[in-house]
Amino acid sequence: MMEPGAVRADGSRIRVALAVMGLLAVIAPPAAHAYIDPMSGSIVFQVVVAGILGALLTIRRWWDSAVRLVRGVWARVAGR
Amino acid sequence: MTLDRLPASYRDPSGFLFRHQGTLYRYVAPPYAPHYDALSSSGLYEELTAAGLLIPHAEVPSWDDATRSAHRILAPEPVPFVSYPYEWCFSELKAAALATLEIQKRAFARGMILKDASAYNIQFRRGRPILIDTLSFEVYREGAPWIAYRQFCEHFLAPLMLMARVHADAGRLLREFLDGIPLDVAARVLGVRGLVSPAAFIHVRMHARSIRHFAATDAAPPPRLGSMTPRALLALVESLAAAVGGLQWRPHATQWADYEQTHGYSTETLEAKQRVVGEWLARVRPSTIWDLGANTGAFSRMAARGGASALAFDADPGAVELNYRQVAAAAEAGVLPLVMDLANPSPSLGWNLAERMSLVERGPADAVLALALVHHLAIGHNLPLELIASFLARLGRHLLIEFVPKSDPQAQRLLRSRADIFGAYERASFERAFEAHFRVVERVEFPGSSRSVYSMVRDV
Repeated sequence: MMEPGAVRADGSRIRVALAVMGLLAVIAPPAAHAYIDPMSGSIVFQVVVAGILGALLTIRRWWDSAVRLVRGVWARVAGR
Repeated sequence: MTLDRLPASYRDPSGFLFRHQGTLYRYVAPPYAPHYDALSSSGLYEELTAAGLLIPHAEVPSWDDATRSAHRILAPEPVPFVSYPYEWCFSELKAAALATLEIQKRAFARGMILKDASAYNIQFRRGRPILIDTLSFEVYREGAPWIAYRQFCEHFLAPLMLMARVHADAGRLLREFLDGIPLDVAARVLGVRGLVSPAAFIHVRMHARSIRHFAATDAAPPPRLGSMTPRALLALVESLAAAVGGLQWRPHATQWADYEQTHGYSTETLEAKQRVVGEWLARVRPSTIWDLGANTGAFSRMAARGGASALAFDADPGAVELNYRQVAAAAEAGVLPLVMDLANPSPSLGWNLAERMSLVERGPADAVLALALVHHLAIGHNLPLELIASFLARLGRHLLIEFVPKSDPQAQRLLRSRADIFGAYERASFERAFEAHFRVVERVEFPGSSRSVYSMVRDV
């Protein structure tokens, strides 16, 4: 479970999002099978944004476990 | 035989609501069967109903050809009063948004997904938000995006941002934009505030821009672009939850003070008034009560303690906000605070004017409480006493109403900056106007105050 507020975008992430958006602007949107109209622009946007947020989440988890590992090792070394 | 469909229940092909001999039922259409069955077999139905997040239902046997054509007929537990998002204060809309995301997360953990995120699918029951649309779930297909993302942003995130960052009254826009506030409208209104917050920038501004961009193209869609990983979907939902959770709105300090003192009379008079209300409640024993001009709900709370289900209406979103915070903090079941401008109450809205019911259509209540209200309508809105009386007569059978004479300091405040054109606003004409609709049971005067409270009943 991720703590709330963990996924946040800063200026550089936004620039990345903008770049990907620009790239996608030349690709046409997918058809969505739903009774509400999700709007193709919303689907394309969601796929990009969620992809970035998901990647950030993965990186954060790696980072957190790396930090935990280093801390654990350090605690053992320091405890000796 | 055709089923008596509810007028609002026409969008979703998965099923619809209908009434039969006074009871509300839900028709589950055969094509929706795999999803409906998964709701039970995945354990999600059990989990959500136990958590108070989904309305419980009973599966009932079909009784004629029309009902036999269904996959299932459900009898959902009734919701005592249907309220609408444009009647909710900031914290009510926020609670409804967070409940929707919580449901989405729990569904996802069991291989299902919300296929819509309409604020109208949430109702307040016993003071808490609950999903009333049992057919909102679908079996999750790996790679599928969240179809309801835009709807969530338009029904919840954008209005909440406008309420928190622009004006608390912005929630009223939902009354005009029944399908949610369009994201480009929200982005425009947010202006630079939509640039500062990452959530507003991404989920509202950029989202709106993307919708606008693709709406202008009509190229054939490639099949694989709409694919996203489960982790990405979860991250999106978490991001929305963080965005909603981070939004705050506080009524101004001056308003707080106003609410604290609420009235214009002494402690003795207040106590006397509480006694009058208490005695009236004990005599009338209403099961539903509408408290008009409820402020932060002190008298609604009295009624709820006596077992009534109370609706606490006020035009001021700040008063409703403070009232709801008490409801949420104390897990009160009997009070539902709602924003309602009685000079312009919720009308019939939507397709064929039948999708969303007017305030009057959702009544009448057993009893109506109208304390410190009449002078606001008569002097504040130039409403003749006869019109106020005939409107209140439509809302409930029993009425406890306070007459505030022009000499009262609160009435004087309303007259401070305007000409006194209210020659007809005096006690005798008040009594005449109301006696055309009600029989006066009792009239109570308060020592040291020029106000009086009338207990009335409509005999027909």
